Amino acid sequence: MSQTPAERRPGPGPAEAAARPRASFCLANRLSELSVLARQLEAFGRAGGLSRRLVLEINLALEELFTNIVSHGFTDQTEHFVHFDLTCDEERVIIRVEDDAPFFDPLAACSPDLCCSLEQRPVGGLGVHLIRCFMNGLVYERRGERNILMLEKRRPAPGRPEGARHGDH
Amino acid sequence: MEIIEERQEATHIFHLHGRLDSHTASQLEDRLQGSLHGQTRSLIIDCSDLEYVSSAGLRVILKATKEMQRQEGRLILCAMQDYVREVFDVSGFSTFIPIVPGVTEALRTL
Repeated sequence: MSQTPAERRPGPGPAEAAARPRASFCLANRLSELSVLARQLEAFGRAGGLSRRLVLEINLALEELFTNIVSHGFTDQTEHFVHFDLTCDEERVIIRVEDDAPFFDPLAACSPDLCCSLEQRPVGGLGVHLIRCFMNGLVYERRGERNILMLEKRRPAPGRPEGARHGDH
Repeated sequence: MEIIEERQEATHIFHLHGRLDSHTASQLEDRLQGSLHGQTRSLIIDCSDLEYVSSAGLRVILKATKEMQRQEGRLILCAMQDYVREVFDVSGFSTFIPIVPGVTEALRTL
């Protein structure tokens, strides 16, 4: 496939990888940044031709993750930043989330018991469950002084229904 | 998020517009708390213009549902878009909170 000059990028990667939609941004550790997250994901979704539904599902997973990091990850009072990096091709969206909090695996929380009655059900504790429902791959890694989480979301094949219940787990 | 309230005798209807996330959930919590006393016997939450919900929104609705049950009242959700419905389904909430197609059906259920 021929490229226009504007699509060429320097670097060692294959030419087709360089043309993939990409979003890279960071959010300060406060919940008001969630509106920035939503705007960034909408722009990435437009660039990558992602459906509105897929963008909302990715938004959900990243909000739950970000909220967990902001609420439980940082132990001091200073400002920190959480970095997000997203790329996609025809089959999947790959997301990398990185922060400088002390060791904190946001996936370590137990899944809630979804079958218990209303009276017994604890208020909250669903965030990690929702991340697992809507994402297809999750890997946590502690590298040096940083927490890194890689997330994969498969795009539905053309003509196939969307949603967590239709994903392969 | 925008919240519009409507009262029909002992029924309080909340129309939600926009995004119910970790940042905006406290707005809904405050408004629901304000209606969870006095003459209110039923709460209807109209989700037709609710584009997005996360666990923070579920938490607020669960809390209000428990409070209404304690008062022997009811909370009914209605008119959910596909994505919002799915979040309620995978979290198990649709098994114990009634979800109906629209406000008319919700009023008829009471």
